[in-house]
Parts: sequence; C-alpha cells; structure tokens
Amino acid sequence: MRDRTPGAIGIVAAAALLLTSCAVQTAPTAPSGGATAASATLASVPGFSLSDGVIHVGEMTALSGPIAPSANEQVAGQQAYYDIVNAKGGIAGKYPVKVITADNQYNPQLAVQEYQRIKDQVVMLSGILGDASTEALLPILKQNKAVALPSTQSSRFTAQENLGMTFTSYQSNVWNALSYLFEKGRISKSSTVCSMVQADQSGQARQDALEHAGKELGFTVGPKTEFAPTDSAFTAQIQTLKTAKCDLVVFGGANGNVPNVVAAATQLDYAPIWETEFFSIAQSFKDTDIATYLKENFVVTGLAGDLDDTSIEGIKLLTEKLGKTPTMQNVYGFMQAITATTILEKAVQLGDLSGAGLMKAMDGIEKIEYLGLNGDMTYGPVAKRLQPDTSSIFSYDPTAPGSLKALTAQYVAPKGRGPGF
Amino acid sequence: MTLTTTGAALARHARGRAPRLFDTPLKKILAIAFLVAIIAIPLNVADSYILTVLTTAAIAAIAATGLNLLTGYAGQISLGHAFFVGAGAFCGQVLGGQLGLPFLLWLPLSALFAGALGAVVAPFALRLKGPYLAIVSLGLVFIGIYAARNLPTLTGGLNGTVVTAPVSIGVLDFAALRVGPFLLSREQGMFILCWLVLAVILLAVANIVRSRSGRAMQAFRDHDLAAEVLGARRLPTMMNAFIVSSALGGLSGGLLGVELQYIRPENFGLDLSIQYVAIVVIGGLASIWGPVLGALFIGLVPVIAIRLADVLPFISKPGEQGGVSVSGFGLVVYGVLIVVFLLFRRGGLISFFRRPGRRRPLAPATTQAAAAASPPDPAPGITTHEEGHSL
Repeated sequence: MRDRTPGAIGIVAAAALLLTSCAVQTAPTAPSGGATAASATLASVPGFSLSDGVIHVGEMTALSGPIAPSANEQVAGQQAYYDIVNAKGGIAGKYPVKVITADNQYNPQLAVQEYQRIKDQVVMLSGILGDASTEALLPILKQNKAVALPSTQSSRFTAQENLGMTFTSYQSNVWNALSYLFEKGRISKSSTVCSMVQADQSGQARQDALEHAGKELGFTVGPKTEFAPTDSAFTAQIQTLKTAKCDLVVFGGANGNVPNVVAAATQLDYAPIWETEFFSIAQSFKDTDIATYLKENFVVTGLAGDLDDTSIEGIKLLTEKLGKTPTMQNVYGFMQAITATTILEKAVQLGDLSGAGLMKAMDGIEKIEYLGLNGDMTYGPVAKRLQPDTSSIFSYDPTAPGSLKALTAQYVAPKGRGPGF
Repeated sequence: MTLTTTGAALARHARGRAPRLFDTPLKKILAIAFLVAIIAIPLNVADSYILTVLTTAAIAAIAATGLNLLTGYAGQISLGHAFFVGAGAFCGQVLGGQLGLPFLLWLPLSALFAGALGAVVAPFALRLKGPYLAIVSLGLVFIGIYAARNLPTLTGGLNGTVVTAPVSIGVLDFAALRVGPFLLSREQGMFILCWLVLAVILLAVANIVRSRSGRAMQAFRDHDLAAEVLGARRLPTMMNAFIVSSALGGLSGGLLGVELQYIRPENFGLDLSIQYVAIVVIGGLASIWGPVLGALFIGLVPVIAIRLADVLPFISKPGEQGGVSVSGFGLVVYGVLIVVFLLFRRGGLISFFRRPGRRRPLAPATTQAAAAASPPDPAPGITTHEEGHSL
C-alpha cells in the first residue's frame, strides 16, 4: 500500500504556511485619487516616523577594504554637517537627521544587497560611493521611486531624476585646469597634451574635455592611452606618451594607480605636467620619494581652497565641528550633506518625504549653495540640472594640509562652461 | 571489447541497484517541505534584505552545484567557474535584454552557451589533473575578464551593463508577481523563481550522479586506472562533468544578472571562483545538499555579523578610524569558520545531517575499482565522504 503520509503532510503544511501570508500586499483594485503626494501635512514614510520625528538617511560607502579610511572621512564630513543642522533642531527646525551606514566595500554586488537591507529604514541615500555601485543601484532606485546622491562627478548621472548631484563634473575639472595652465603659460599652442585614462565613461569624459580644450585653446591633442582599474603596470602607456613628446598628460586614475604611474615615469625619465583629480591618499606620500615627483609635476583639481583657510565659511564650520583641519574627503562629505539637507528641507516644506516627494523637491529647488566650498549646483526639472562649473586647482605640497596647496580657488575657464559639461 | 562489455554489465547491474531518490518517508516529507518553503517563505518574510540574501544564496548554490559535480563527484579541481558564470550572465543580457528573447529561451540558451564554452575548453583542460587543472582553469577567469572588457557592445566593457532581460513566463512576471489578490514584490518573485530553478537543478544533478555517467565520474575520482580497466572512458566522462558544470555556471550567471540588474566584468573575478570552492567545501563535497547549505552559510554570515555589530565593543562605528568594521568582522568570522570546518568537520555542514552507520555500500563497479588499487585519493586537497546517489 502506498504511503500517503508525506503528501498529506505537504498539503497541510502548504495550506498553513500560505494562509499565514502576512508579507504580501493586496493588489490595489482602483487607483487612489484622494490623497496626493504633496499633501499639506507631513506623513510617516519608510525612514521617517512622525512619532519620533527623526529623518533617517543612508550612506552607502566602503566602510571596509583598502579605501575605508578615506570613505570614513567622507562619512565624518557628512555627520559634521548633520550635527550642525541637528543642533538647530534639524530639518525645518524640528526633524533631526540620523545617518544609517551601509558597507558596499566598493563592490556593486554588495551595494545591491546592502541597499535592500537599509532601504526601508531611510528616506534617501545621501551618498553612494563608486560609479559602479551607482550604476548597480539605479534600476532598483527607479523601481522603488527612491532618491540617492552619488558621491561622483560623472555627468552621465545628472539626467537621472532619481539621483541628485553635488560636485563639478570630470569634464569641467579638466577644462578648467587646462584653461588655468594655459593662462599661466605652463602650456601653450605649441604644446602637445595627451591623456592616460581609465577605459570607461569617466575616461571618455576627460578625453571629451581634453579635445574641447584642444579646439578652444589651440594646442595639439596627442595620443590617448588607456588602462583598466586593476592594472598595475603602466610602462607601455608612459612610453607611448614619452614618444609622442606629450608636455601635459590628463590622468584619470584611481588612488592605487598613482605610485605605479610615478614609478614607471621615473624609470623612463619622463616628467610632463600631470593633471589629475584629487586623490585621497595624496597625504600618505608626503614622506616618500614619490612626494618630490608629485610636487614637481602634479596639478590637482579639487574643492574649496587651502584646507586651513577658515575665511571659507564651509571650512570654518567644518574645522570647528571636527576640532581639526579637515581633509578633502571631509569636504566632499560635508557638501553632500548640504545637498541632502536642502532637498529634505524642500520636501518637508512640500509635505512629502517619500521618494516621489523628494524627486518633486529636487524639481522645485532652483540651486544649492555650498558655503564657499564650490560653485552652485543647479537643480530644477531634471533636463535643466547642471553641475557646478568651478574647480579649485592645487599643486602637491607635502607640507600643506592634505598635501594640497591651492593655486586658485573656484576657478572657471575664461571661455565659460564647455558643451554638456 | 571484453572490458567494455564487463563494464557495461557492471554498470547495468549497478543501475538496477541504484537507490531511489526519495527512499524514505522522511526524505519525501523534507522534499515537500522544501517546495512549500519556496512559496511560503517569501509570502511570510517582508524583509527584502533577507529575501535578497537568500535569493543570492540560491543562485550561488546553482553554480556551486555545478562545481560540486566537477570537483566533488568527478574529482577535478577548478578555479575557473566564475568564467562560466560570467559568460552566462552576459549572454543572458544579450539574448534577453538586447535581442528581447523570452525567459524560457534566454536562460536555457545562456546555460547552453556556457556549456558550449566548457566543451571547447574541456579537451585541453582535462589533459591535466589536480593543481595543474586548477591553474589552467584560473587562466580562464583572467581571459574572461579581458574578453568582457574588450567586447563593449556585448558587455558594456569596463562600464558594465544594466540587465534588462525579462523574468516572465507567460503571464507570470516574477519581477511583479500577482497571485490572485496578492501582489508580490520583485524580491519575493525572484526568491520563488531562483529557488524553484535550484530545486529543478538539484533533482537533475541527483539523477545525473545516479546515472551510468555519474557513477563513472565517481569511479574516476576514486581511481581512474581502475575505472578505465572496468571499461569507462575517461575523456568523455570528464567532458560530461565539465560541460554540465559549465552549463550550470552559465544558468546561475543568467539568474545572477537579472537579480543584480547590473553586471560588469569585474563581478566575475577570482574571488567569485574562490567563493564557489568555499561553498562546496563548507557545504560538503559530493553531496546534493552540500552546496545549498554552503551557499546559505556564506550568505548568512554577514547578516549575523551585522546583527552582532551593535553588541560587540570592538566593532568600529562608521566615520571613525580604528577597530574592526562590520564587514571586516563578517570576513573574520567567515574565515575562522572555514578553518574550523576543515580542521574538525571535513564532511562539511551536510555531515551534521547524516546519521552514523547509514552509509551505503559502494556500488559494485566502484567497489571493484577501489579494490583494484590503493586508497582513493580523488585529487590533492579534496576529501569526499559519500557516493551521494540519493537525496
């Protein structure tokens, strides 16, 4: 006789478990026309409860791994600004902000998992570290109608209604730096300017700016050499640049590439001007042999000005809050918190802290100012948004705070913003 | 000719005595409970993080089941599994996302593509054994990443690509599943889809290892010379294992792509391959459920670490320097447990569920093969514990 026990148990178990289905939503029978997203009264949403009035924001960053120290400084910068806001009562004077962190370890796969962990605890992500993590989260943000502020300069995200930008684009930084060096006579129409960039969209953005500068300023654009993020040998690229007699190289690399690039260039006795973005480990080279090469040859774009220049309002506040001279990473985090706070203020004013409400708030903001740390970020409808067009330009100086000495602060190319920058 | 005939006869004899997949009421009940849980868990768990972790574990378990077939049952060490997972992931996006093929076409075709790549590689790779094969397979990972970086129209190059391949079967869209009055989230739908696929794969692999080909794999693992003497042919047998293993990797990759919704070449590096090896070893080599347990273990350790973070004093707070980060603590726990398992519980997690004294006698072919030579040593560094014929 066949044993029917397992089947019977299975049916009973299935019925019992399915009947307790408490984690499903009932499908809406008709569109709700009553309540609008922008109701006058603020309602509780995931990440915000009217009962305690705390607004939770998420910070997706690399809390472990090789860039954790720099990422932690960015978190500290964000927290410093939220502390200032909370000391005045919080958003709209009554809703304090609390940061919930998530560790993506600079890995987009982990970013997806971590986002799922915190998404119902926060009203928005006030930071996502890593372009790849931003790319990975974008489809999910769209599905969830959620808002995030990527910690990136990549202009390709500016046109996304779910993302709020803060920083000057890669293109504007290259264009401004080349214009500045041209103005100061360090390059001229007879110069050859080349590039050594990552073979991705950030590299192409820099290359676009270089080609635009070549047309506008009249210098020769030399070879474009590329590398992958994990590459550690750069002799071939640098030999190409040297053979082409490049006077200046636009370098778009990651932190870890710098020592290897300097080593390869030194071995080949090649010393052009290297134009690059701020790299967070700059200070760690100050007591090494690399420092001399960096000081003589590197021009770096970044934010604010000298990090001990307390005549800049943002630096002054940050210094007071941290109790020490800030790092450039602190400044990055501080600025992102300004963006987040401005969006939250507008959303509270509109009475809706949901994702849709935050997107509407971004549409309703004209511009965001950054206490002298950088130029304004233009908000409004997504098609009209523009990243700041200012760049602070530094030389490498091991004795200066952050090993950066400002050559000029908030510089804008005399010929204005480049196309699509 | 005589050897072949003898081997075939032994194999037929062995097939007649192969245990049924569900040979006890307990196994039948557990199998039914497993299927019920696949539907019931997402209906009762609202936490999308937990669902995502479990879905990712199911996807990893599919890939690890493939690797287990090759490593656990056939005794071949491979560090190149991420190559096939990546091939399946990008192929899935090209077929499903770019060409718009339906789920029931693009997913099997992704598996077939990875299997075909396995078929191309296998004749060369399988000339080697043990650590030599491990190193050759390692090369596949680097070749795969290089190729993916340099095929931007298919893979997005270094930027990677958003995955838009559909996950619907007819009216059942697992990204927005609607069952009667119930509206399921994407995480709930993907959980059901991936665990159902895993259930099918487990059933298929359980049958493969009971088949003549599966028993031949185990015979070669235990002693290749004896297996050949009995009439089994090494290259076709190992080719089968390699191709099926690769295809399962591709299948897993296809699902991983739609789960993550964004993939790039760096996703499929050496660390992913090592993770699959760890899953197989921790779960238990040469067992059907071992990869599932291993994948759940590896997926859930970080979750536990996060839960513990608030009560442990040495966990650093975000924004502060010094101390151990939550993820770092998870990695330490993960590493310590691997060491503990390898030192004290070589049978892996599955060994906790096995009652002593219930090991099956070896099938005649294997018994004779084993008797014909010295102690079985499938491959350096690999310890197997059971024939794994039944679930």
